Amino acid sequence: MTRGFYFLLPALLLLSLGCSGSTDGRVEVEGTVMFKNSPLDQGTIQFMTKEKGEMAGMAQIKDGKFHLPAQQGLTPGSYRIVISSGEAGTKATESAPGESGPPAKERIPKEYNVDSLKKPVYRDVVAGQKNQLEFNIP
Amino acid sequence: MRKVRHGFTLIELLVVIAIIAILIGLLLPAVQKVREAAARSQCSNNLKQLGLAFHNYNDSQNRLPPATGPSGCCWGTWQVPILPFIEQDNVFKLYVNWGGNDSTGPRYSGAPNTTNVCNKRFKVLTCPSDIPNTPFGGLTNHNYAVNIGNTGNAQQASLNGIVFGGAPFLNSGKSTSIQTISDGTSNTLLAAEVLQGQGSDLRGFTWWGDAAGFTAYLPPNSTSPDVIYTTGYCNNQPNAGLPCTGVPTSTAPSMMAARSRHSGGVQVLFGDGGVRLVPNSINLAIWRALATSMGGEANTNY
Repeated sequence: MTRGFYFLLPALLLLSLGCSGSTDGRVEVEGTVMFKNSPLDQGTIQFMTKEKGEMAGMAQIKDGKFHLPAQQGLTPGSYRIVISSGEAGTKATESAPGESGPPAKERIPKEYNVDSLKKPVYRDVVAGQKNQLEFNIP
Repeated sequence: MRKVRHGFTLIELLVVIAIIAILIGLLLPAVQKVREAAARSQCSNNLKQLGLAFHNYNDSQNRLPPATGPSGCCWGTWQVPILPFIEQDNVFKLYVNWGGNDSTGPRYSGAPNTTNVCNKRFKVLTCPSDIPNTPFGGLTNHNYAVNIGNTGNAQQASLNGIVFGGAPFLNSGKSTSIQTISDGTSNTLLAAEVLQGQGSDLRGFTWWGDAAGFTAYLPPNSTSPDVIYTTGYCNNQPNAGLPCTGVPTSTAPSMMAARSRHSGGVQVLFGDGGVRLVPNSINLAIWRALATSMGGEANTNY
């Protein structure tokens, strides 16, 4: 019985390795976003790589929470954060789907989105532990 | 003499019924899998037909159709000029004012297009794995969108560090051709599957400009939201694989990702006519490299 167990253990380890291999070293990231001391109802968060500044992951913020699963997660490193949330309900629904028109007015301070290159906000994503990122935007 | 009675005892009957139940239990999941496998192969065949249609269009017109016509969103998309090449010439002839040469004339959403063309469902543009929907006034959603590159719907020159690397289909009404795909046709996507939004959701509403193309800014079957231009047309269903937000901003503008109901990935059509399944876990940089037609990326293996 015990011999069988010791035989199974490495096999199980190999199996779990095989499963995590498909994420290519990417890790799960989740967290909360508070805006003016209450959870941000709707918006998006994007992660830009530090070296090239390319968007590497994007997640939806709903009721202050966001979650990026490992399969589409981030490789460990430092990321510039872009948080964006428009004022909802600024456009009336037309009789038929038409022109997109200009984007909605931004609610989040500029350093988190359009001016994020000038005053960047960086956060680190690390391997081997839970990545819980907290944002408190005034 | 004792009478011999032929028959089964209750226990024997119960055992037989139990065995049959177990066998059916084993069989049913297999039937379901075969059904999805058949639907998937039907989907990939549709993409293949679409690939032939694009090549035939390119041969006869020496260019590809634009993603949307020259006047923008609402006077018809690639889905109209491609109709004669998927054996729907009769429907094509009934569409009026494609491209909006008469900008006060009927849109895709005006008569007679609403009753002659845009209310039709084309089997070759519908994936049987998905749930058919009509988001608005009986006009149909479909399941295939063309490749409009690696930034947003407006084909921004640059979006959050991603530089637009050309696309086979343009939203400006201008055309490219298969000959101008300098990254190589076997390294460049022409089209991919999208899901039909449910209710009044506009994803898959390919008669209309914004939904006619997909972007590789987001990965296939992305858990990130598609961005639709107004909340009334966004039906956020993250658990059904259809996350969306209805408030576009300048850093998260209007865009739609490639999506499917197949497990593990999305089927795509390459410029050489090949149809392949791209896994959801594809490296995002490679996925974007596949979307650009003139990006000059070296590595497009996945």
